[in-house]
Amino acid sequence: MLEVKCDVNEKNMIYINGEVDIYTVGKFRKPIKEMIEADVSEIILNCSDLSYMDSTGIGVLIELRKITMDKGQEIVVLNPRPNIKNLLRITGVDKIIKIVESRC
Amino acid sequence: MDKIKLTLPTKPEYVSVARLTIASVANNMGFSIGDVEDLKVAVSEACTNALNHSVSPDTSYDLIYNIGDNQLEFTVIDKGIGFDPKSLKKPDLTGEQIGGGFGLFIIETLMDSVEIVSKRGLGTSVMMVKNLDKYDEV
Repeated sequence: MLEVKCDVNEKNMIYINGEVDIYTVGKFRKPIKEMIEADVSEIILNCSDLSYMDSTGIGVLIELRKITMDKGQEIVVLNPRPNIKNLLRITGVDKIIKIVESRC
Repeated sequence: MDKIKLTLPTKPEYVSVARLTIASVANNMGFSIGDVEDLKVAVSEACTNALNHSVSPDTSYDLIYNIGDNQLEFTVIDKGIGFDPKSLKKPDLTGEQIGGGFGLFIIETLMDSVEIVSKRGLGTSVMMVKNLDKYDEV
């Protein structure tokens, strides 16, 4: 199950709650893509409540990061849990996407 | 050695069933929290590959968990299109390659051993082993 929410007070923040896999990856991708299209300069993915992600989510991050680079935007992964951080590390995504741990 | 066999429809909504099953089995065996997370990712990647290789959404694929004293061996077997494991591309971080090629790379990184047998037109079997290290608490 995956729930994705945007906060009206934080126009560049997307809250991701649950699991990103082959079933839910479309739901994960949609709001990020929409924020890119809205020309938001920094898109923050709040991953505090993201409990699981696999290569399907990694694929989306890499694909959308390419678009943001072309447009001068940036995707930031905020507060990933240890299992997500490990996946970002072993795939090398932590080298190309900014990971921030704060605002707990 | 205890054995569990699951047959899942080749539909994305059931991949979480494979994760729940392996998490339960691995917890009972005494795997660390970190290892359980790794096992969930590995089984999910293999299931995702089975779905991507399937020829029809109306087919099914099998998961077999062999529960040893000091290791968990599990195999995902599909009856899909098959592929040549040697033709696998390296993971791509540029976003140019559709799919990225990360699934098997992640499995090989997280598991202690992996064996892939694939035949064009007949299907693929991915056998993975994770050794139980009771002192590896994360």
